[in-house]
Amino acid sequence: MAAAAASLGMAAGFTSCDDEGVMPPVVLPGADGSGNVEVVEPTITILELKEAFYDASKNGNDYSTVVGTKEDGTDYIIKGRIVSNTKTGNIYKYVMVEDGTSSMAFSVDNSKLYETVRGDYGAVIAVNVTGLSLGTYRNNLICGVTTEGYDYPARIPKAMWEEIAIPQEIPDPSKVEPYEVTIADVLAYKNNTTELLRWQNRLVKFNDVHFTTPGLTYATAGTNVSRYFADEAGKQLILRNSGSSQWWWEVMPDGTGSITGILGYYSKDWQMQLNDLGGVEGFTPYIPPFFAESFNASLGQFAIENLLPVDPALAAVWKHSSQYTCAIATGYLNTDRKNYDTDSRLVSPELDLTGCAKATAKFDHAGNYFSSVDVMKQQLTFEVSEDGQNWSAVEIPNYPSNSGFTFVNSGDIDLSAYCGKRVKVAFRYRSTSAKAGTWEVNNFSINVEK
Amino acid sequence: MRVKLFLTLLASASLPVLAQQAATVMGVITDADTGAPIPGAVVSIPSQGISVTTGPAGDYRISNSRPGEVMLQVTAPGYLDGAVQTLVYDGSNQGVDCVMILDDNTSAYLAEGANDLFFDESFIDDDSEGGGGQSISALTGSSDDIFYKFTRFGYQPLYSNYRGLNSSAAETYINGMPMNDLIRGGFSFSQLGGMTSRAFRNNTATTGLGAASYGFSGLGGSQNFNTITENYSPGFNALVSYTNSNYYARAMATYSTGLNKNGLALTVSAIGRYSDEGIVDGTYYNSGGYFLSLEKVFNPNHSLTLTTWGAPTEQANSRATVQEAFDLTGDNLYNPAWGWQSGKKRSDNIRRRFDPTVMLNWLYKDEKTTLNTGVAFRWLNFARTRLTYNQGNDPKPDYYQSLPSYWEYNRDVPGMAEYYTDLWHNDPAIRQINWDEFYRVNAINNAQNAGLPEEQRKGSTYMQQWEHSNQFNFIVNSLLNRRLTDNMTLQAGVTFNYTKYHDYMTVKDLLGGEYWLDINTFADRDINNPLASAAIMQNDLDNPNRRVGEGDVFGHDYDITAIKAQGFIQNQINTSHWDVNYGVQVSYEQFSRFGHMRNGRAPENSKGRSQIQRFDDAAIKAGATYKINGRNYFTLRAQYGTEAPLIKDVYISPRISDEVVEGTKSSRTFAADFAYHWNYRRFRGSIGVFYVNTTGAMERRGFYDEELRSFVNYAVTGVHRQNKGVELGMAYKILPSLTATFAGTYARYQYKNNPTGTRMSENSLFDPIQTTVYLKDHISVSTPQAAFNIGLDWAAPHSWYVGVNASYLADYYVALAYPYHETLPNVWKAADTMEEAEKIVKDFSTQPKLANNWVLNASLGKSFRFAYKYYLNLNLSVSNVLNNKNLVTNAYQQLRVDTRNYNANAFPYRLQYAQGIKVYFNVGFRF
Repeated sequence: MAAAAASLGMAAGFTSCDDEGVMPPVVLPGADGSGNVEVVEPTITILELKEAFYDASKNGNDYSTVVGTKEDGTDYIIKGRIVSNTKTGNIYKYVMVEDGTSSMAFSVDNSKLYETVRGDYGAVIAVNVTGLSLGTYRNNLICGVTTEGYDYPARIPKAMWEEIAIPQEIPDPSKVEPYEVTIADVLAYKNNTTELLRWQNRLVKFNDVHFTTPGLTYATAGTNVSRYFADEAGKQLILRNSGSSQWWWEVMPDGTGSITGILGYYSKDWQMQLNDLGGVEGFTPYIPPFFAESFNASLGQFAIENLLPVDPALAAVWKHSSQYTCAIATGYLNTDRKNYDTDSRLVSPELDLTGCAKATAKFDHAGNYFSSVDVMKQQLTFEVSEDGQNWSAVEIPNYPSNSGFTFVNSGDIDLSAYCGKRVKVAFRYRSTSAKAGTWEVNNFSINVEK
Repeated sequence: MRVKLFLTLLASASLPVLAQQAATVMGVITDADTGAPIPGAVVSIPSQGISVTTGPAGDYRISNSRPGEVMLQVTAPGYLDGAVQTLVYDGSNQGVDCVMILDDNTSAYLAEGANDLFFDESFIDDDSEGGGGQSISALTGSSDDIFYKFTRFGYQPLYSNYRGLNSSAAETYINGMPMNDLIRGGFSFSQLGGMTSRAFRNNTATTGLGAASYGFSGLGGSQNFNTITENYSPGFNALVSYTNSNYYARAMATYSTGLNKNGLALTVSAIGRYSDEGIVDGTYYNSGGYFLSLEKVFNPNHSLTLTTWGAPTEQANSRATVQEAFDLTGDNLYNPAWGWQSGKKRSDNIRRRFDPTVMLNWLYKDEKTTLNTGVAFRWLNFARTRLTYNQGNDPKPDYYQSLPSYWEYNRDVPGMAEYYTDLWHNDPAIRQINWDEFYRVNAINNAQNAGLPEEQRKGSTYMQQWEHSNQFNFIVNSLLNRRLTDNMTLQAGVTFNYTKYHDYMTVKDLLGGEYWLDINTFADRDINNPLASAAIMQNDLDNPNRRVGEGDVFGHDYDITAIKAQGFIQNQINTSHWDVNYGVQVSYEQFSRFGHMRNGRAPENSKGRSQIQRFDDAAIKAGATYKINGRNYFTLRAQYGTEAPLIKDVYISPRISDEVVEGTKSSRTFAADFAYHWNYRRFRGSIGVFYVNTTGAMERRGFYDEELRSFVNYAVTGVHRQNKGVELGMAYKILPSLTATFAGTYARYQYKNNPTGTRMSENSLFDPIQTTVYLKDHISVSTPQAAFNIGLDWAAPHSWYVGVNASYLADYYVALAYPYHETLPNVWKAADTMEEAEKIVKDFSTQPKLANNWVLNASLGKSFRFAYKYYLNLNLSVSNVLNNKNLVTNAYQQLRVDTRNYNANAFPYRLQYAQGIKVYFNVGFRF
């Protein structure tokens, strides 16, 4: 029996074993399709590489320089995380790789980079750059291949990319971090070659900025469009949007928020490119106004009502300027360099404010040739009428400078007193034969709250 | 050892003792069921220290018994201990016979018929369904090893794999002739036609790595059926059985003449098994069987025995399916393999089997030598049906796209999941095969044919085919058994096996269509080259676009011709403290494939004779028993050798090509077991450990990939498997008539490396793709690895016996599919983070585990004797008494994986459940 007990003890030890079956390694498709990926270490940082192959002597002309081997005969290899996202089509055939020193834009001839582990947002790849070319396209330093017929580095063929770009980690968007910058910062970087190179094609984030034209679509069908965003101080950057993206028809929001995208460069300016609309955060949705007239194309439904007869030489006080895309009023006739006495309203169609609780109007305007802002305040007014006969002036909070045609926003003009009524509004312009300034008005809108 | 012991007391008396005068006690020890005498049984009167052994006719004689009340004890291998209490009178001659109950536990009474039901019918022998990687080792031999008997019966209704080994590891002999087939390696018990309890009753088992007297034996032991006619006890013997399972009626009759004065003996037996519908819907069973054994004894040295048997069987079986289908139907016996046709149930899982065998044995015997030389002819004919189609979706009701889950996970179509759920609940045409629809579609084809020229006429869209796999075996064998000295014997044998295997398909039923076009419409076509495409689609390039009708061969048609020559020699030495054996086996095997069709996907290597594959193998085996005393001993046994791969695993896509799996070679195995045994009067048993380590093994599975619309084959090579565990079996006699047994095993059957996988699709020209399969430490066999059984057997007065036993079965894993253990290079497409990717890989590679379960079995029996010569045995066995309907008998992962969304559950494992309570009632009659 003792032997049995001993046997039992021995037997228990005998079957102790590894119960957990192995798990296949988490792999990425290797160049040979095997899934067995070698870990590659970089031999140079992206910023070092950029500085090494930036050619200031080209004076802004495109060029393409083949990258050879390092002095010790080894290849230039960079390694970093892909921060560009081509999935929604705004960025196309580019892979931006960030390694903490800078970001490199690889021009790759694959329209579905997002379907590959060598092009998808968040993946880590190593790229053997030796044999590729570095150069600029309109002053933006990029990496591609030297090809006949192209001054700048052309797209790397798909098959070649699959060989030289070695997957290192699966795409993990949660590990992508943009650099937070200000518009002022990046504008300053333009003047420093190292900083310019460092920041070109990086994923950056601007906080507390607004779109200059909320309510417009990001782009138009099939056409790439430049929009602008600005900081509180009014400093602007281009937001370049593709008309082939999957969201070009979306409208830009209102208010302030943050914008995250790839900080590209074209000619002499930065231009941001969104990875997708996830890069637009914190804004308030754009609500179309109750009534709007941009005066971009015409005076629209506005009618001119002259309170003083208009001298035939002058012909009209209010006109539409397609050059400046605004309504323009003046009592000065350029051809005879003469000022006229005028008093004229540009009157809106009837606006039905019944059923609203609050109403505000606003517009952009600019002025010139006025002797002072006070004179402007007397001569340029915003008026409301319930019957079309009797008009009352409502204060315009902001007037522009009395000279220089600098547009400012009027600020919100409160029309809540007219809620529940049908009204017309008008821009009223006056001048004297002594002095006649010029008033430009556009982007007029009325917003109501029910 | 489940002891139920059952005694018939034939003589007793009650005269007072007058004087002390030696008395003679004599009698015959016979088998309770067959009436066959039991030679070699030990009859003893322990109180008087007397012990004798029965002779060849089961007779014994004790001539020096002291009178008085004596307890006569009888022990015989394979039987329960018998005991007869009697009064012995002065100087009398007293006859005391003892009828011995075969020593099986309560489940053994299931085994009476239920066992062949279990092993014969439930075999997962269909490797085309994906479950075939898993083969079940059936143990039917007799042995008094408690653990062995537990393995035989204790797992039911689940399958057991002795030591986690495949069926090919256990060698089956008939009259000393190795009968495992060369193609699949195992022995299919269904060829014995359900006659294991009578015509094939005489058998011997060797457990584990023990030495056998009839052959070299296998890693998983062996059994030898003896059909030499003189071993059957004369008389008539009939059995009628009822069960509520695959069939409900079984009748069997056996008649033996015994050896007559002309030296002739004849045994004939016939069996029938039938059900028009089994317990599972849409199944049926129809089987008959015959057996004949004729012996002529020429003189004391020479005899000749002719044995022949066969059992033509047709049955419709159930088919494994996914859990979702069981849930939808609310029925764990849901069978997707049948459907209504014109108001009648029709099955698509019909199997036909007829394996006639003829064997001739010449036996030479003298005092020291037995030489058994035999020749056998065997035809293994097997065919099964399968529905096929040439466009659209797979019409099987449990096709994954017909299940609600597909619409939930894969398609964002609102309402579809609910729609399909509703259909499953309410529409039998969805839940089952829709035969009427097939006829309707084929009839439309026919209608469109009207007036069309011959070449434009359409054939069947749906068709039912037969898939045949037949074998012819010619086996010659000679086995020598010689006593060299008083304590030394020698066994030696040579075997030659010629096998011709034939695998092909025929059209069973066009389902109303005009013909079937013998092309593979799902072949991977070359869109740039229509001419090549036309060729790729052909199953028989030499007869392109052939139209076949019912009975015609189509699809594929090939033979494999194999030869195996094998010899062994072994020496056994027995001394008072040591028993030692050692032996060696060598074998040569060669085989080649012969294709009858030139397949469009393998035009260069499908038709004609392939290269010959050759394998030389050898094994050595040794064992020692050290007997401390008569009650305690240790055994240590070991085997080391190589083994050729199974022929079925060698060709990567044998249906279309003779291409051999790269890396094909013999495997190498080291196995050992060590045990301690004790054997006291009331308490006996053994505890041991075993270890089987195989390297360089091959496995192959085929599966039908619904996406590729093709049969895909998957082989792994260089497999390292390790099986190890503890085995315990013990019996304690609480009372002379009441015995408690406990047996159990705790084992691990694991892969121990990451072998190379090779996959090839039958519908493309692509070369096989190789990859690493990460199998290390996963479970290699789908069987409970921990199993414990406790039993109580009572031989009640008045020839009643009662047995109850309970098994606990645990650590039971689903048979794994290799693709779940490959790397997933495109997993990043479905994973947003590294963590998610790891989770997906983890989900894929986690082998599903099945629930632990209790099973309770019971049996009750009574034996009658009347008019001195007629015996009537009744027994009732009830398995799964608790009516547990959640016992999974068989579960395997599909080989197909979801590489689109990487949902590990997109193609869940398939499984089958055991029926609930199973009753087996048996009436046996003999005279």
